[in-house]
This record gives sequence, C-alpha cells and structure tokens, in this order.
Amino acid sequence: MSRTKTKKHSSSVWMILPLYFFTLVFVAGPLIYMVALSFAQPGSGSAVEWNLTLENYRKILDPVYLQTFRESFQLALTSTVIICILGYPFGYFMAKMSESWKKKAMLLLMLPFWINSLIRLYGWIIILQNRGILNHVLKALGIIDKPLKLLYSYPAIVVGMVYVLLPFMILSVYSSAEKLDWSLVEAARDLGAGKAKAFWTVSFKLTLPGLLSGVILTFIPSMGLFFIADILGGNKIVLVGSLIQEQMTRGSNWPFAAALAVVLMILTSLMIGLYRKITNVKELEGIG
Amino acid sequence: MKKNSKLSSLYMGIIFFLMYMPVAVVIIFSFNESKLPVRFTGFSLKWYQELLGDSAMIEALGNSLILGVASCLVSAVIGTLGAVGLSRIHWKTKSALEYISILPLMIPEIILGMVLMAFFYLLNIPFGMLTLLLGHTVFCVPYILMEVKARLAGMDPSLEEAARDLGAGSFRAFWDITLPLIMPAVVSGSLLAFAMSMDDVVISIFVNGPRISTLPVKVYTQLKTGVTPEINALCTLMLVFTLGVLAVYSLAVWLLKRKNRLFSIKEK
Amino acid sequence: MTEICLELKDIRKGFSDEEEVLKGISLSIGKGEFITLLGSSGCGKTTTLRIIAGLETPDAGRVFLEGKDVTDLNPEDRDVNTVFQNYALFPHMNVADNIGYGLKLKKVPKPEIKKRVAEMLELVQLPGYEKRKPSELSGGQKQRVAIARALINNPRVLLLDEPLGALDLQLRRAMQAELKRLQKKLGITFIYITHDQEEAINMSDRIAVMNHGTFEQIGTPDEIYNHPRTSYVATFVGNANILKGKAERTENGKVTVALAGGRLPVVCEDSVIREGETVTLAVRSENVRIREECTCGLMAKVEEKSFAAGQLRVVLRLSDGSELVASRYGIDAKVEQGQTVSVCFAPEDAVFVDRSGEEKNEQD
Repeated sequence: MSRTKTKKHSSSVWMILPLYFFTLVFVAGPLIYMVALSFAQPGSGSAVEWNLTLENYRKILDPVYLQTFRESFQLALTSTVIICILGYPFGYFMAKMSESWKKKAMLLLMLPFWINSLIRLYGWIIILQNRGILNHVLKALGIIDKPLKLLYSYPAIVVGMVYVLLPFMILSVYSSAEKLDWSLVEAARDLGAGKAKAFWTVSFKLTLPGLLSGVILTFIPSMGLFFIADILGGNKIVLVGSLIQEQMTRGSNWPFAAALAVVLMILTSLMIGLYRKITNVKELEGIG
Repeated sequence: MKKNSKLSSLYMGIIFFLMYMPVAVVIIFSFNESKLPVRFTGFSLKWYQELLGDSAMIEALGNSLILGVASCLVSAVIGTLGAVGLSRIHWKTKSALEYISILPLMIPEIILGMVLMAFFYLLNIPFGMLTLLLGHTVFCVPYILMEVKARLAGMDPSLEEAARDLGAGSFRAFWDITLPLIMPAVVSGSLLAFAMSMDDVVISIFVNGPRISTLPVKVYTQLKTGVTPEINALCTLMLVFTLGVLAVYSLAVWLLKRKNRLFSIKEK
Repeated sequence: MTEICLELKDIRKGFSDEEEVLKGISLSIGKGEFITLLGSSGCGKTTTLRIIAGLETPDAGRVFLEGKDVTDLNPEDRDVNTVFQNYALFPHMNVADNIGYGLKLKKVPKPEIKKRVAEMLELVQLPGYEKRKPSELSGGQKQRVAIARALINNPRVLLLDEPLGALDLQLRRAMQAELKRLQKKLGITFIYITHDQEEAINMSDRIAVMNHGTFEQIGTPDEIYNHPRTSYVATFVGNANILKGKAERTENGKVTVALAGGRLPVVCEDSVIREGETVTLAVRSENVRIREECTCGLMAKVEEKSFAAGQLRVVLRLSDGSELVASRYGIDAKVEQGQTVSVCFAPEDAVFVDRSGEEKNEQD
C-alpha cells in the first residue's frame, strides 16, 4: 500500500531535498550546536573544552550581566512603545487614503529600504552631533545657548531604533487596516457610538492583530540590533547584542556567548508564544 | 467616514519628513566641499571622485553585489523548489521542516550571526565569500519560501494535474505550468531577499572573516573609526540607482499595459 | 459486449484515517462506450476518475487499459485524457498553446501542431480563437477548449469530471447534445461524471450509480430508470417513493402486497418472492394516483402541496407514517391540505427493490 503511495510522490522528492538539507545543516545544525556550546567551558583563544557545565548560565545571573539584559529589554520596550504610538496612526491613516495616494505612500515608505540603513543612520549622526543641524536650529531659535549633547546618548539610540524599525510597524498595521470593512465603523456610528467610541470598539479591535504582529516585528530585532547602540550610543550602553558580539570576538568566550544567545532566544520565543496565544484567543472570540 | 482629516495628512507629512530628513542631509553633504558635515562651505563633486578612486570601497560594493545576487539566486532555487515540494509531499516531518526553515526570520539576527560563526568554525569552513554566501542564504530562503508558498496556496492544483494528464512528466509540468505561474512571487521574494542581503551588517560581521568586507560592514567600520563624505556620495548614488531601476520598471509596466490595451481593441 | 477498453478490478482507496472512499469496485467499459458515473458528492466518483487518470494510486486493485495493466503508470504515460471540472486551462498560455500542449510534449513538429489545433477548434466550433487568452473566454468557450485540449491527443479514454457543472441550464442542454455528437463522431470511450440524473439519462449508453464507494447498479438508462434494483437508485435517479410492505399472495407473475391498510397488486418480473416476506417497493411520484377508482383501499392524508416545474407536488402521509409524494397532476387538481384521499398505483408502476439475493455482493 504505502509502496505505491511513495512511488507516486517520489518524482517530487528531489524538489524538497535541497531545502531539507540546507535547513537541517545550516539552520537546525548551528542552533543545536549553540545549545551544546552553552554547556561547554571556554578554553584558550577560540578553543572550547567539552566539560559539561552550568557555569555559563550561572554567570548570566551575575548582576552586571543581569543589568545588561534589563537594559536591552528596557530599550527594546521603549523603542517598541514609541514605534506603536508613531506607527499605528500612520498605518491606519494610510489605509484610509485613496487608492492612488496609497500607492504613492507605499512607494515613499519602501524607498528607504533600498538605501543602506547604516547610511541613513549616519544622517542622524550629522543631525544630532554637537555642531549638527539640530543644535544649530535650536540655537537660532534661541531655545538653547550652548549646544546640547544629543549624540552618543540613550535618546539617540532610541531615535535610531525607532527610525530603522518604524516602517515594519506601519506596514503591519496598514495591511490589517486595509482589510478592515469600513461599513462596520459606519454601522457603529449609526448605532449611536461617538467617533472615539466607534474607533475603539470596532476599528482598533479589528486592527489589533496588525499592531501585535508589528510589535513582534519590531521588538525582536531591537533586542539584537547592537550596531545602532554602537554608532549612536558610543559604547555607553552595553546591550545583550553587543555583549554577545564582544564575547565572540575580543572576549573569546564562545560558550558564554552561546549561553547569552540561548537565554535571548528563550525570551523572544516566549514573546512569540504570547503573541500566538493572544491572537488565537482573539480569533476564538471572533474578533481576530 | 473613510476620509482623512487635514490633521492626519499633516501627521503623515511630518513622519515622512522625519523619515527622509537624514537621507536628504546625507545627500546635501555629499556635495559639500568641506570634509566635516557641519556647515556647507561650497559645492563640490570631489567626494564622488574620491569614492570612485577608493578601491577598497568599490571592492566592498562589488562584494556586496556579488553576494546579494548569488545568495538571492541560491535561495530562489532552494526556496522555490522547497515551497513547491512542500505542497506536493505529505511527510510527517513537513511542518517541522517548514517551521525550522523560517526560524531565521523569527530570531534576533545577532543569534543567527553568532551561531553561524561558531558553526562554520566547527566545520572548519574558511571564513570568506563562501561563509558569507551560506550565512546570507540562511536568512534569504525564508523570504522566498513564504512568498512562493502564499502564491501556491492561491493556485489551482488541477492545473499541474492537467499538464501531467496531457503527458508532461513531473519536472516538465513544474517547468511549463507551475514555475511561470509562481514567477511573480519568486521575483518579489528575491527582490526582498536581495535588499536584505545588501543591507545586512550583523550576520556579515560575524561570518566575513578578516580579508573580505561587504559594503555595510565597510560603512560600519568607517562609522566607528572615522567617516569621510565618500559615504554621503555613496548614499546619493544608491538612491539614484534605485530610482532609476524603479523608473525603468514602471515604464516597462506602463508600456506592457498599453500594448495589451491596443491588442484587445484590435481584437474587438 | 464489444471489445473491452478499460477495466477496473476490485479497486480500493482510502485517504488517511477516514472511511474508505472506494470499497472494492469493479467495472468493465467497452470500446466507444459512453458511460456515466452517477452519484451525489462524496460517493467516490471523482476518486474513481482520478485513479483511472493516474492522479491517484489505489490502495488495492488493478486498472487495465486495453488489456494492459496501467495501475503503476504515471498519468503522463497513460493514453487517457481528462476534462477537469474547472477546466484547468493554463492561464498564461493562449488557446492554441493550451490545445497544442499535449502534441508539443510529444515533439510533434510546429506546423503540424498548428494544423491540428485549427482542426480541433473547428470541431468544437471555435474557429479562429487561437490567440485568445483563457481569461477572455466565456464558461462555455473554456469548456470547449478544455475538451479540444484533451481530444487532440487521441486518447483511448476521455474522462470528463462534471464538465457542465458550472454552466447555466440552457448552455448545459446544448453542450450535452454537442458532447454526444462529438463522442459518436470520434468513437472514443467517454467516462463521464455527474450528479445530475437527467444529464446521465440523456447522454449515456450505460450508467453506473455510485453510493458510499460502491456501485449500486450498473445498466442502461432504461434499466436504471425503470428497473432500479435498490431503493437508493430508485430515489436518486427516479425520485421514487420507497414503501415497505408484506407479500401476501403470488400468482401469475403478480404479487399482492399489503401496506398501510391497503392491498395492492404488483407485477413481479424477475425476482422470486415468497409469501409472507417483507418487501420494499419503489414507486415514482408521477405514477402515484390520487382519488381514482380503485379497490386497493390505501388511504392517505394530504400534508402539503406546492407547485414546481409545471406540476403539482402533493405530499401525502400514509396510515403507517410513511411519506408518499405524487406529482402527476396539474395546478387544477382538486386536492386540499388536510383531506384524506384514496391513493393507488398501477401494478406495473411499482418495482421491488433491495432484494437480498441481488444485493451488492461487494459488501462482504
């Protein structure tokens, strides 16, 4: 029985083999190796000694490193909240535009993707630096006397994060608001809901999945975009990403880097799990 | 009801302004005579000259382009065949495989870069173009896989069966029928993957090794050590290039539409 | 029967953990025959067709095409072509490329393909449509192109999966006649799938009525319509009423059946019926007579009447609780809701069905 069945599909098996091979070797393989590595001991240089140990995980509990996690989390959270506040209305308004304006807005939104994000961040350096444009403008307006130290600060990092990740949130909100049936909003108004009430009870609830997936799309990368903190924060703030990079290169402690990565991955998986759970519940309630 | 107020237009305008302001600033200073991007001292094209003369920068750009195209092609093959194969085969491990193969999009890049570096070291693969290619393919495959999968889901399975029924072997049916129909998804997935590859810093930094540099890595090191307005010139050129491609693309679409319209009028 | 073209032997097929879709079916189809697989959705008719085409592999059983075992052959290696339910025209190819695709695969030279495509378009009455895209065709035209695309390969068997399902009634009638004409002209074996009994009766040489993965009855339209062997066939094909009764007396080929307080004579042709046996009768609704001179003594209450397709449909309830539908009267019939009327049917209008001796022996 099964013999004839497999025979039928055998002609398509070759198609899937590259994906199987590639995924197992270069995605599953490295991730499994990472977990294994996190239980090993660092040797000299990049060498690793295969003595099973929990030392790397214990080390993360060290207040210095816990602080790093807390700060990364805080930064990611701050950036994500700001991105939500800025991006949600944008995506929502964009969905309400006329078709031709939608196309134009989409083009304007996608265009910067094709310019290297580092170069775009460099633009912010020019703007924020001590003798930069922003300080010039503020001084000319008489708001400040002495130039503010804007660059290489926590707010500068947040600006960079928000700048790089905002389009993802906008696109995510837009794609769910696009599918919104506007007659539902009209129905709510017709039934006596005020403008705000109609938005809150109908539009917002129906676009919530877009907002949530936008949160995932911005929060997870922001935990790992160490280079933004690096070039806009000037080494002042050490994030988990920077710490991992540090341990992989100068620190030469790969097992510890692996342990950090495992913990980071568990945290992000929890986020995704939570997101799935929320959206599933919403679907069950019929508003997903 | 479905109308935007003036306020919302103003809001969108401000966001767009903030989005493009850094780009505009970079472009303006690419024509600045002074090396410092502080004050505009005079119009000059010298940074473009220097950029074209900077062999390291040109090499990095070349590396990035080669890498982008190569990883795009490799992932287009793996991802397209994989998506089609997944739709045809009903193995028990199928959903697990699918999950793992899109995992690179769901975990922070830093983890991916770190584990790939450790893994390539373990396998003793020399760091260079090959490791870059493998690393970029890891995160390019999911984009193409997902695009093609979505397109396949909307395709009538009896089309391929009809081809088989008319005498086409499994490969021929794929080549003649399925591939042309999923091509738009393959192209848009590849474009996305190419853009991501051209922009990637995090993974490249881990797997590029000491001798090879991609453009983003080069820019990153410059930003950390010291920037020259060559970078500004580069940004301007990239924007011009993108706009050029876009213009050619929309012109082609427009011509195609016009041709079709003329054709259908003639038919009637 | 003439020479056998296609033979199915004890075909079984199940999908994953569900009930078996095909429970061991066998069928012989003669050369040039127009056979219809008739049944409601989910009866297994499409699966049967797909197994013949090679798009599914049976779990057990064999398929023979002109005496050759083709069970393990891929669809591309069988001399069988299919007209798909939704036409499955390749959207990125024009009409000529669609029709010529099979020949192109056989490496027929281009001018030859062009010539034969033009002939085919002539045959399906779409001359000059070569350059059209499928999206520019109407449903009926797509249908013709799909038929031409299959026929150009000169298949031994043409499989048609509800090809007229998506067309409106008028077009459907016209296409029925046209398909029949094509089949007569080309002499190709047609295996046709439908759930429409009218279509099956109009077009087929033989009909195979399918239900729950088995054949209920295989026979000519006349046999299926006038001599149904099972209550399923009687109700599905003839919209018949099914009545349970008891055989009281048999003499001169007539059996007197007692049911719901009445006694009715029924002609019994081929089955042997013993006295005292419980029997099942099928009576088509147009044969049920109301309020006529009759001595059978069967009474029924009028429950509902409605007008449909030029006839009055009267739903009656017999004293044993079973339902009886009569549809032989015009709008002027004086039947009122709630009335109790006498009903009867002619001895030759009732058929004994579900005879245990004749029951489908596949179900062992």
